[in-house]
Amino acid sequence: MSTAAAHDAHDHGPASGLSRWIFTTNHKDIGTLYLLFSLLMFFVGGAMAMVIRAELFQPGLQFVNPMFFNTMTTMHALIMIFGAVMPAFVGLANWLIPIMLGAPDMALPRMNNWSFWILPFAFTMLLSTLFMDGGGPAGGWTLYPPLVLQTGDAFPFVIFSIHMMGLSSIMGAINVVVTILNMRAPGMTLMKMPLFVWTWLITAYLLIAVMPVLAGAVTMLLTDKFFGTSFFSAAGGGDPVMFQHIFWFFGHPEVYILILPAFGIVSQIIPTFARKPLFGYSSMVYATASIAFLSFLVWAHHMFTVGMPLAGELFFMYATMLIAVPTGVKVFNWVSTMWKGSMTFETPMLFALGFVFMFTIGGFSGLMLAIAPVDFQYHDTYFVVAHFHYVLVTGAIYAIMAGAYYWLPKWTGNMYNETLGKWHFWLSTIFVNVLFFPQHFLGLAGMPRRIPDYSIQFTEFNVISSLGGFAFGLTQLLFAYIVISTIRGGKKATDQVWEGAEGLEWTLPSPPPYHSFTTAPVIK
Amino acid sequence: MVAAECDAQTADCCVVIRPNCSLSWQRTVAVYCGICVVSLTIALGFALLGFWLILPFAGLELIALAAAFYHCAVRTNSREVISIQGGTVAVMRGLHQPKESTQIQRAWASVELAEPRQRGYPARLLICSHGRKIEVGHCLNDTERRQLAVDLRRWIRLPSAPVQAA
Repeated sequence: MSTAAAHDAHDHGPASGLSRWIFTTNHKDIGTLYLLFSLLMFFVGGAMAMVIRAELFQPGLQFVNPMFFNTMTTMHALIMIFGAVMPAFVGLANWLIPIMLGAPDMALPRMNNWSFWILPFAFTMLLSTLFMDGGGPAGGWTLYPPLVLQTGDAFPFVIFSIHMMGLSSIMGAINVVVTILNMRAPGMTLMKMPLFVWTWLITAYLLIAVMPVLAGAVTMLLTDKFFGTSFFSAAGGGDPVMFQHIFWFFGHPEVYILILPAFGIVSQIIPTFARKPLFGYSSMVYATASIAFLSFLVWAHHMFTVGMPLAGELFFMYATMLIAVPTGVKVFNWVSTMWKGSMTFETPMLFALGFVFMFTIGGFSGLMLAIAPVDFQYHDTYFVVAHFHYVLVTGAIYAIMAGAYYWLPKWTGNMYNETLGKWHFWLSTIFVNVLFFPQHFLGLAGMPRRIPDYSIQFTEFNVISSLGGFAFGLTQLLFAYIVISTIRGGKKATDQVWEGAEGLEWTLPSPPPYHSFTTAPVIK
Repeated sequence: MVAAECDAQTADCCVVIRPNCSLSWQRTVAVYCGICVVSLTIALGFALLGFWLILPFAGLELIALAAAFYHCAVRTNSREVISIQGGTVAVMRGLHQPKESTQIQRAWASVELAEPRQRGYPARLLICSHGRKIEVGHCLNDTERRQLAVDLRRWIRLPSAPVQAA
């Protein structure tokens, strides 16, 4: 037996200066890093969207060449999905999961640090491809071969950056699963966990299941390009359509990875401002699990037009429609929670309500796209663009903003400016609809996606959409101002912050101490 | 969590300190196997279709997940045992058997609760003797740690039982 080392007395507090942020293993610090990184990427991806909308303001080529336009659409998608939305959810998970469970920190704090610090390198590498010979990737975020194999020098760097993003996501997901299962406070049974934690547990499981599929798919693209394999090359006996199957086997669960934590956030906020417990907690958990399960069975609805057997089209059509059932249960439960509640409409609640209303619009247009014969008309048109932006912008991003306003007073100890918050909501909601709603009509009229020029009959709706886009983009600067000014100061927040808020995070001081739960949490 | 057993006659005490663990080892194995079944089914399915490069990534990921679960299980199943017997206080740490052990004389042992320099930070529980400080109860929350400090002072101060002649 060895002799136990004697310990010096020290407090394990935060380091000072930059080293605090580089070497931190504290879940709150890492959550903050993720959220700030996500905000930065939101503006980088948003700037690319502004380039796209500026070019589409008029028919003809105005500002950029077609190659650069397609680079912008590809980079905008990659940055918004992997750089803005996913890191924002991981940031929220880092900040909230331990304090919602009554745990002192994440289960694997060092891995938590690595999983964040991979991201700046991954996105620096991805953005650096814009300056390489042949330009950045322009084949769309779906990376379909053989088109994507025509990418210039950037190709291996794009693949490597996707690997790094995937590695970061997997490390984050492993940490979330291990934390939730192993580190719940005594009395915090699975069915007592807040919905946000449940949705993240299921999201992390989806990430673990599908990330190797993406990693394998992009590696096979790399070997096809540089090592003479023919996984997806018809000339060598491979099958390019199989890439689409593999990609969407990852891609459709990825869509739910981007939306399930949003369901969790909204399920925390609505009961607080309706001053009622969440209606149908168990059914919410089972609905989330059902959506995750179904996400593995519906991938081919993204590729109805590649030519598959009728039985296959029918299967994927009906399986996709089936997702409306658990999603409908969720919407019903949110509305029932509000029914006869003592509602107030602070900014987080406004964004949550905006989410419920506009995500449902995105859900319904998804149902339209699920109908195989109709999809033949809508496929690769602006109708699809409108659909997934209603799901991801007014869905995922609205939920993130709702969450940011909801927990910002807890994180910073300061209240944000409610008047500015409401301005942010109403301007965003007006302009996001001006931006995306006309795109439904453009798609129905036949305007294809991923083109820098278009027929003259599409001009009016494109002008309206671009104006909405510029205004929506400018409005987000207001969000950045509100966040920064709240971090810098403001009216002090109470520990409870919101009158109707329930959960362990509200039992901690605002802001919470560097080490949470030095006293045992009381689980109701 | 603290479990203590004291003998009123001999004044001996045995205190077992263990971290909170919300998932048993058996359930950890079950969860891990469930995840493996799904991930490997997907990866093997694609491998059978000729797209075998998904399989090594799935394997690497499952190894990382296993390492994470194992690391967490080792940490949450570790124990700290403070044995107060006769004239000695022994502090032992380990997983299934003691890996570290320190002994000090009961007569010279004192219990210190080092208050944090900043509000909101945990206090540190130290058993001290002859300039040596052994931290115990690192995995406890502050309420449990403070209660343990009070109890340890009481147990260590108790007079030793008279040594019986052989």
